[in-house]
Amino acid sequence: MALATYLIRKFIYIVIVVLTVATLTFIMAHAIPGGPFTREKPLPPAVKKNIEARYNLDKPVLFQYFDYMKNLIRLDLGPSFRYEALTVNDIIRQKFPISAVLGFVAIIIALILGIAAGTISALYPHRWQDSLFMFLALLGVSIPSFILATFLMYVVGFKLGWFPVAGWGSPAHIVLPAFTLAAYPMAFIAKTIRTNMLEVLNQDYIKVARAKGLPERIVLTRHAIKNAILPVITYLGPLVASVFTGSFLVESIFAIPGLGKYFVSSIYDRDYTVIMGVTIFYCVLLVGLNFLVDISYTFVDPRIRIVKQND
Amino acid sequence: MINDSLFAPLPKEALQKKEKTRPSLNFWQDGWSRLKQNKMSMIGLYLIILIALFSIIGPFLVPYTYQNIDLARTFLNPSWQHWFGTDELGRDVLVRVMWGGRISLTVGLVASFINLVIGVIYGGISGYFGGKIDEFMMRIVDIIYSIPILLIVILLMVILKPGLTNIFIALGLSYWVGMARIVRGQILTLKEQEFALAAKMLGATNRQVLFKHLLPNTIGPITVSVTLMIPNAIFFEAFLSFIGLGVSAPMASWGVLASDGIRAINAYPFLLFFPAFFICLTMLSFNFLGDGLRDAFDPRLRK
Amino acid sequence: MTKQTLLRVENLHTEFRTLFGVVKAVRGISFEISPGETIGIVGESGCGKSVTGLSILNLIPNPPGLITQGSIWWEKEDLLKIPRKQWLDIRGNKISMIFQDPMSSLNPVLTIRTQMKEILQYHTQKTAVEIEAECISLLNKVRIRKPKEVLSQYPHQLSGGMRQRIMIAIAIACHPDLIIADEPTTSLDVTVQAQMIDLLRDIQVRTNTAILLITHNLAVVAGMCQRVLVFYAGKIVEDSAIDDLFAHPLHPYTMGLLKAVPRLTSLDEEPLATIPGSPPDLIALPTGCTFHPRCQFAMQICAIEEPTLQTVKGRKVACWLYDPRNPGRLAE
Repeated sequence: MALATYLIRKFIYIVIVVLTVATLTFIMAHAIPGGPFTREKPLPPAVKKNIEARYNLDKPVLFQYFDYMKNLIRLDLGPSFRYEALTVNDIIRQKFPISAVLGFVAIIIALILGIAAGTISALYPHRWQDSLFMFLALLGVSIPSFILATFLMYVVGFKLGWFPVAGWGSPAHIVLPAFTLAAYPMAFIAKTIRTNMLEVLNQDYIKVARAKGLPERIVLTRHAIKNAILPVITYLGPLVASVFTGSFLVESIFAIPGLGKYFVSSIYDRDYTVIMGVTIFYCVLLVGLNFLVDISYTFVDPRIRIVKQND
Repeated sequence: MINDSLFAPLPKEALQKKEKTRPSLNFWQDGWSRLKQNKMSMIGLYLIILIALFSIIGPFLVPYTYQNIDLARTFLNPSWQHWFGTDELGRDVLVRVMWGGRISLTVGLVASFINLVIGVIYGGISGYFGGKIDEFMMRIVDIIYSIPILLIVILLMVILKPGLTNIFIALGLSYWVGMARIVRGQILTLKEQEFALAAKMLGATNRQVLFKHLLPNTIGPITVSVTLMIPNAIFFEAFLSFIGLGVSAPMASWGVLASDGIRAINAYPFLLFFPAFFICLTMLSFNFLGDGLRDAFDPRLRK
Repeated sequence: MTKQTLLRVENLHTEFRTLFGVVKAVRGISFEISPGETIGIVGESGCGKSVTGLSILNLIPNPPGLITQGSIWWEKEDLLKIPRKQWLDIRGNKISMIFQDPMSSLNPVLTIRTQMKEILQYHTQKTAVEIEAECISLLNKVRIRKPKEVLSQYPHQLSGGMRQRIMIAIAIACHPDLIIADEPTTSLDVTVQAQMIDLLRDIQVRTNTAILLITHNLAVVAGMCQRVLVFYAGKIVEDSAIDDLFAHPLHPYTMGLLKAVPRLTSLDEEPLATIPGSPPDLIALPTGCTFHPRCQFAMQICAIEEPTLQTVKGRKVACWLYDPRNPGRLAE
């Protein structure tokens, strides 16, 4: 019962977020001075009028808005302004799987290496392992992804020739871009895990576990790591967001034909329907994921029960 | 050695002087003394000062300007004449990197300041008044928070057109939610504490309680968050430059210089190296400092 | 009859290295516990009483803490010299510990069952079924109703008193020879405190376990202990049988402690006595006797040299007042 009301509440919230985002993007897109068909070479007035009629641009703004919203509810994001044969849905269907594969690999790398590095650092505080990992983590959060991408491409791909420099197709193509995407979240996770672990290791219940005469291995795996990792689950949402937005740059640099690269080129092209559509798509994806994370968190951490949140 | 006279009573005045206590430090002194212990943070702080001096004073010491075009001397490798080489229009890269520093640091500082002001006021009001007002204000924050900041910035920049002022506006309008959340959380716990209730009992107005008693107590977390926000803003600016939404020519931020450099990476790697080096060094320094500040000012870690 | 010794602590020194300097938390503590004996350690906060308890089980967090000197004898072995592996057999099994705050002593993400079972799994050869039955019988022993339900619950679902009972159940699970109870009642309600003391005393009578009771509450000590060690600034200033201590405290600090206990029986409205001044700064200790800045009997020598623990009429006290060289010696 409590779970059902919780789910319904959350769902309504998601709908509100998505509608807000859609409205905002719509307002923004229409606030652009000159309109989407202002190009360097002006179109003949007849052609322009024709196009505007096709996209309902000659109708009142409010009409356009409801039209867009109506389509949105039917999950139809409309046609691309620039490439008339393509709909935004087609573009997402075609390009997103590539970004998803890349993003998934990056997230797995970030989680595994991040948690491992953070745990090791916390177990050997102020020793060389800790210093090394924490220095790497600081580099990870400090180097902008496009610089790291270019660096890896130039050194590992171009000079050393270990991995292909650009393109998509084989597993080897994934390595450099996935690692670039993973760098920031990996560093962040490592730092978070280390802080959490050190805090947890100072807790009374760890002292109690040691006083029980449990081997250190058990103290760490059973009593410490679970408590230290739990907060990372709440980071999964921002992690996915960071991987998506990171993909804009990384896919452009590594010439990967994913949604990120397409999004950037549509910004260059001022392809407004694509910009709007992709933004809404990413928002829905993220809000949905965060929803799943929230639910799973309540199952993993016994202290958080949905019932309690409601009253 | 031990004789009877030693067993005479000790005069009370002697006791007063003997009682030693450590000097008590105020918030900033205490934090500063902790920060000084942290070598990496101090290195970060000194590097930030050096980078700032390099960018502010540097251009006066170099015999070129950022817009001096010399088509006879394009793509020169670093030399005594041009320490960082020249670019495709024969402009001196050193002076352009210095100017880039001015722009990037300005973006970092101004954007952080805007965030600070909006975030503190918004979060302060929300936390202080609580109840329905808080609920409503935080719902808005939640909605903004669930959209990746970068997407908002990109959308705003698409509309606003590239340019320095618009970068301030775009970053300022989208990044404050984090700060608002931090401040609100702090205020929520602080306002329940005795000193706030005492101030209220003594007749202080809401505004006085909030600005004189509560907000000053949130300065620790706010300082940390601002320090970490500056490199973030610099990073966002670089990102925007890369996708063609940054400041426009002939001015150039580090982000613009770096993304120009990326296009010539195979032939002239130095064009990327210098701006990239400064971006990384600045981010690293601020992160060092921010980590140290967090350790120094986070009351949870105090003993 | 020569008393058999269970645990002998000799000249224990424990320090913490902090930003502001070295905190000398324990500065040369020596005492013994016999089987079945209950000893109380009393003192103000920061006098080193908890650190002593943690040092016995080698649970001092390092860094910043470090045992710099001394030995802890247990069954002819110096616990500070045995390898790590052997420690595991002592902790929880031979010596167990009850901590101050039951709210934070149980792991929030594990069920009570997991946290009770594990101590039996590592120290006994029992099967899973036997362990389950043992857990229930332990919960019965600490007077928890519906033990089966409680086993499947998480700590946050239980009250402070319940949690402390569970901590006691865990502490007695392996029939240890010594239980170190570090302020076991401090963070509980007064009514629950009495129940806990009752429970501990009951367990002690039934199992003849030695208990080292660390507390700042003299009433708790009076109710349970045979002997009391009074700690001040990391040293023992008085070591005495409970009745003697209450009847004739020797050390001025002990006198102060006793006077600071409110009594319902005092008829006149005399104000409650306090000990002037504040506990010493463990980084910059006063010279000589660490108590002299607060002592009403302070003499010249007290500011110069620290007194050692000496036997006075079968009791031990560290105070110049009782030194044989003191012409005005308090010879009572």
